[in-house]
Amino acid sequence: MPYGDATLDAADMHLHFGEWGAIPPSTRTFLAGNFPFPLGLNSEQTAEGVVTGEGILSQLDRAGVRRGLLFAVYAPRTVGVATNEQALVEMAVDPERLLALGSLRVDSWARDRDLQLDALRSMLDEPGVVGIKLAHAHMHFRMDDPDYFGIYDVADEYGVPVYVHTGRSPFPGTAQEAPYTEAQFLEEAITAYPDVPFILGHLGHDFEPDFTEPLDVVLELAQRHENVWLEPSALSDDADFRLPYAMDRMRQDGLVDRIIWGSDGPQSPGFVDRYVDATVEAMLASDYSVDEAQAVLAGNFDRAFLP
Amino acid sequence: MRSRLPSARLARRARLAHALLTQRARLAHALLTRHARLAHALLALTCLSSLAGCVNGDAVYYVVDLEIDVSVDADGPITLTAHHATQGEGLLEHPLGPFDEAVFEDDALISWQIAVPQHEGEGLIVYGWQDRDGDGVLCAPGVDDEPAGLTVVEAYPAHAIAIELVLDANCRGPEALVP
Amino acid sequence: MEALFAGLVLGLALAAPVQAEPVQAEPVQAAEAAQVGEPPALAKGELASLDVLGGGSDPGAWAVGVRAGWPWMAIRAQVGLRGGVTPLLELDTALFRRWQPSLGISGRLLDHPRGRLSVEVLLGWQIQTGDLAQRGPSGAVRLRLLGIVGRANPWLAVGGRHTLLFDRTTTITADATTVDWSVRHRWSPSIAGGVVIGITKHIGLDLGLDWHFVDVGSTAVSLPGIHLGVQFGGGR
Repeated sequence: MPYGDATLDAADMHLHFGEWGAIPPSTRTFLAGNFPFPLGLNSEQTAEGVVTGEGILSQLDRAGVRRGLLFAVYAPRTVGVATNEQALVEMAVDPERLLALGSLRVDSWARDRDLQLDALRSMLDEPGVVGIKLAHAHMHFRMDDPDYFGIYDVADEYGVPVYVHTGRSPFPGTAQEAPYTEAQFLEEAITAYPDVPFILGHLGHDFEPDFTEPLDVVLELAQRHENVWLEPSALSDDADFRLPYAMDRMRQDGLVDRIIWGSDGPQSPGFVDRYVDATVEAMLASDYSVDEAQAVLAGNFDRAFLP
Repeated sequence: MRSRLPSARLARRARLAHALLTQRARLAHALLTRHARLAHALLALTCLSSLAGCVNGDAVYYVVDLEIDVSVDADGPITLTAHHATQGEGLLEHPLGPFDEAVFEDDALISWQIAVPQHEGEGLIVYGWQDRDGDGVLCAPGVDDEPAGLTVVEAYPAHAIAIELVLDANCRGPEALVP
Repeated sequence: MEALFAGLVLGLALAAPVQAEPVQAEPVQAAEAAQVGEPPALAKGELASLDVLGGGSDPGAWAVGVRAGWPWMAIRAQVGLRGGVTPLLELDTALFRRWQPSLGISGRLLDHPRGRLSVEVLLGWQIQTGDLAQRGPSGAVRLRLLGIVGRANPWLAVGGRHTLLFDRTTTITADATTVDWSVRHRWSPSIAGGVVIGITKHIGLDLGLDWHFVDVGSTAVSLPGIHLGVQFGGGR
């Protein structure tokens, strides 16, 4: 990964795998409609060439990224299900380069809480599984509901980070209310578990043209709490504003040592490549030093997930 | 390369081209007018006779008039959300799935007509919460006294149903209250 | 694009004699044929391949075109009747997931030894399967422009397809069940162009680029395509 005159190592902490049939019909229609015609006519074929372990590795190779983190997902109301078991299968394609975050079902929590937490523990026992992935807006549970803090007990028990999707999402069925999307609702959990790293994904991006307010909230949390980390994935926009603005703000606020780069790929062929290029460009524009850029692209990933 | 035509010859060709276009247009119009009624009838017949092949979205709604007896200690508008009890199949099956929402003034007895989409899920659940500070959000950092509650509508399906809804669980979303 | 098309049409209309002057046309056509050394059939545009790509067939002449490519494939059959009307039957498909069978008529608006302008009106159906399934009555209007300049001839087709998608809503109340219908409209303009080679009077080949802007406003982006076509016919 070139950065000025230097060559940097890079890791992508946010990658999705899955099966087309494990996505709800409304989301499949939404995704297929966003594929260029005629690729949406054969949407299953179009998608499944990309969202396998092999497909993801080829995207990483194309982008010059050495390592990737696969996300298990349990969001049957919105983006679908990509199981812990399937994550292990995809990771096995190249265990040197692919790691995973485990997840759990929360949709029948009153009945299945202990069962799901035990399943999460089993996943974290597997080699290469380095943390927990949550998305309150997709999984439909409040960020401030202490009934779900047992998940953070498990994270604390295993000494692993928790990645949390923050901000809204365009997928059908996503919860849009503040307690499911806005990062300030996480502060109770962040405070209650000071030894658990909370990685705030998408930096609170709310799909509004003005990104400043949700970003302010996330950066203030990071400044108040040492266990808050920052992941700037899926911030591309036509105006080319959000990603450069976020990278600049984080450097200005002295938070470079807690930025872990991720793409939210693979999405489509070449997406990871384009997003890492856009991130490098944003860092160059904000005068990130070589050491700072290396920290963002891989160093902080190693500190958080491979201590 | 051809030399430029004299202007008179050019003008005559333009008039001939116009006449030809007009003649063809008149022929097309006559053809269409003569057969317009037949074409219209054929189209209608084709669509009617293969009606199943015409239908894209096929939504079915079951209308329910709810009488909701709300029990709550304090004041403030009440937001009600109607959910399916379950949605999806197999790996994607899950409880809840909102399809309608309304805000009511602080009344003990609420009448609410809902149209339950039959094509999206099964069963009926009503969730409600009281907005005591008027910010449109159930609880927030520093606000932890807004109550919520949920009722599984066992009598569904029926077109007129009376239920009780007790709002006594502060700051709980529907996912935390579903049995 | 529209200005270019209009300019080409105007140039065709003004640059040379039209068929309404047969006495003057024959010596011009013979002279031109002699000038380029082509068979008389080609000089008169009497090729099946030119009928398929340029539109319209002479009375009694028939032509069939088969086109294979990505993503569009098509088959087309037409026969010329008296009065300058050419009924045609067309079936096109994108990746065998979007099907558009149509019946229509074609007619020449301008006919000249050096080019042809025709219009086609088609009515039929659209069936699309998969995650973007839709179906409904569909119609298209298309203009075809053909230049007859030699063995290899340029062609251009510009058109638009309109499709109606009907939705049904059933509402069940205590008193009655009512059914309401609503309709959505999909518009897909298209442009295609290429070169057609009349090998003989009865057989030809064409190579073309196709760009269908499918379901404008509903589909994000449409990718252009390419095809190779074979035409054959007779009746002359």
